[in-house]
Amino acid sequence: MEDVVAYMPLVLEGFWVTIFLSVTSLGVSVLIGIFGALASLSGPIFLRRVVGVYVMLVRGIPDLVLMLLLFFGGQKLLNDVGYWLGLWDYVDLSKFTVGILTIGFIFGAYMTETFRGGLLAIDRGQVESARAVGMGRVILFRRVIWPQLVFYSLPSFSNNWMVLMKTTALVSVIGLNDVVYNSFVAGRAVRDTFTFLFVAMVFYLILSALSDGAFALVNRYYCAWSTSGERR
Amino acid sequence: MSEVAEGRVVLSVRDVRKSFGPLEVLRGISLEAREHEVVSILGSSGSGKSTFLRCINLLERPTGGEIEVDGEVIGLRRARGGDLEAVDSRQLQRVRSKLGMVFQGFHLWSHMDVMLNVCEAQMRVLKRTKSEARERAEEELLKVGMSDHVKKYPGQLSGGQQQRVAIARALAMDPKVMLFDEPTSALDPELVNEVLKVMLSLASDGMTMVVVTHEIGFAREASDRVVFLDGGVIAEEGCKDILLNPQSTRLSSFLEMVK
Amino acid sequence: MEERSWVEWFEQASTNDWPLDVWLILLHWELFAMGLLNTILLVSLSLFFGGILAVVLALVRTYRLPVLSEFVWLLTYVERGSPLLVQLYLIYYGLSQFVFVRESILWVILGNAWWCALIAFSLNTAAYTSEIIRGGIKSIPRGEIEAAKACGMSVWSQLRSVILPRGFRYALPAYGNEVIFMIHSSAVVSTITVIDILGAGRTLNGKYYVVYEGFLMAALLYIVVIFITTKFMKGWERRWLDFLVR
Repeated sequence: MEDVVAYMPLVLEGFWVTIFLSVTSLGVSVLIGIFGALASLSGPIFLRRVVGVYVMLVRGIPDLVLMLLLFFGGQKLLNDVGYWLGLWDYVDLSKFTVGILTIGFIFGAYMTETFRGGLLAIDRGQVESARAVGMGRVILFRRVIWPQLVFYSLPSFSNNWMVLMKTTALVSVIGLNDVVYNSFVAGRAVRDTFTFLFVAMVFYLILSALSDGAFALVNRYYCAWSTSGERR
Repeated sequence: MSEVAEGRVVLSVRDVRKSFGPLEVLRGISLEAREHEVVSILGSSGSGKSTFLRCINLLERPTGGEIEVDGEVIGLRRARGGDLEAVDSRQLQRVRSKLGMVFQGFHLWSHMDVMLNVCEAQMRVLKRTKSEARERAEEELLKVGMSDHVKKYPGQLSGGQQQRVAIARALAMDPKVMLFDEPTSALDPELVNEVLKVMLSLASDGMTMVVVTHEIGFAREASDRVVFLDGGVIAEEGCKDILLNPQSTRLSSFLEMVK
Repeated sequence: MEERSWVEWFEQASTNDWPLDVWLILLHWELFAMGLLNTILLVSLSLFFGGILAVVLALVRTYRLPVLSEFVWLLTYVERGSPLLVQLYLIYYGLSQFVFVRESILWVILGNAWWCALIAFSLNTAAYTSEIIRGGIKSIPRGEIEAAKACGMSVWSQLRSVILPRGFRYALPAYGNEVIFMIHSSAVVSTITVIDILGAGRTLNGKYYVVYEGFLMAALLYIVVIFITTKFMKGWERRWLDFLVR
């Protein structure tokens, strides 16, 4: 039992890594998502095709494969490019960076679909009537487009977050010290993988519960005006 | 529409009460229907007429009362919420199969075509074979005038057509009593007649019917008895003449309003 | 779990002149064929068993059976709230540390990576799918269920004739997504020594100190599998009318 306590700090470090990783990846994916959604809705045709291929790739390749490919493949690519250009011999790709980029890349595709759907669902008529009244673009966005965008994207967005948060566990496979990796290492050291893995699982369950709660709050704040939805 | 006044009692409902929490919607309603009788139930919104009808086949659970169908009393016991529930689910199913119900919203099964809608319950509840069910179905669909639409799906039919299929579906079960819950209230005015025509011919064929309706015209033409519900009790009942000569003030003011 | 030797073969691989050794991949077609077979088998069986379990779970929650309902809620919450990887590790690594597990009959199953994966995947997909089915059942218009009751149908008949067919029909698009996610998630078995598609790729990489060949081939195979599956599911969606009418 003492061993378990002794290793807790290590596991806690893993907690923070996971949380930080999740949040930053979310940020990256949102940025990509906004850009992707706008591009696919109102960009030039070639850009739309690019986004289409991007989404198709992410849908068609498992997250773990992409992660391994980007980590080891990316590492090798950087080395090869350096070798061919004669610029550098060996560059160390940070696992953390790869983790954020991979997860951000993957969920950027899902967020693109989310925001696309959200933008498409906004009632054009409301935008028109706001323009007709003389609303400027900034105000229009803030008071008409944004609230509706949030409302229509929220379920899909929250779903993406829940999946993203769990997908971060995959970084343990490339050796990044997230909660799963650290728990496993600690478990192996103490010959009690079960306890530590269980702790890791509970960590995720708590994170899920907190996320559920947070989204419920956002839902109530932003979406109280809606007439649709479950009122029974 | 029938002459037999001394027919066998096929439906007997005694002292039905229903409360939704503190609100008492039905305050002791008793009704009897004899074979081949057509009973119309009228009343303003909120008078509890639909609730009463739904208590007969226990789609709503009454808070008190007794229900007897074709000589068989439905065994009831008090459930946890305070309402009565059926003791024996098999008996309930059997009794329900003797009561054909037509809903305001038709409620055809939208993933089945017309023929299957009319056959499904026959096969599942009455355990008829597919060919037996089809035969019966074709008979009833002919009666309601929907024979040409057997392969169509409910989504492709108008409201009036759907309701007629719903009537055929209920008839194919060979019920002892047909219960109609405001069958034309959800229909556009021009579609109401086709359904009323079917109901009138049913009545003249001698089917025992209990009809909750707004259509005073139908009540006047087809009913053997008219029951007027108000505030959860029977305010007046009698033969269809009461519609022309209401005895109570409540009925006469109601008739004034719907004119 | 990855070990540090990857670093070593980096330096090896970095001196490789060819961009992509296609011949190497072709030579090892059997390896990838086995990987493909394992992935398909694992995913199909998990979906099958998980699907059956999902219907049971969904009905338990829909009809609010006492005690069981709460238990199902808990199971669903745990399955959906934690990563599949952790669940897999718990079953494969975690359980194997207990002596009573190792010495019981169950060890035949629990000691085998493939079976552990099947169990973990089936439970996981059962939880997600049961939620999808529940959502489908909730979307059924109440009136159609009432009409079934009014005809005298037993609960079993109601389920057979109305609730399950309609519920499944509503659930189909969401279930299509779940199938795709299952294929995505299946790649994690390669971390517990099962040779699925990704496992084949990693094996190739590890054996010949290459990087691109194994992963790219694996990625390609996954794309093909998912593409075919998506087409299949879309076809199913279009045919649901026929599918449901007996």
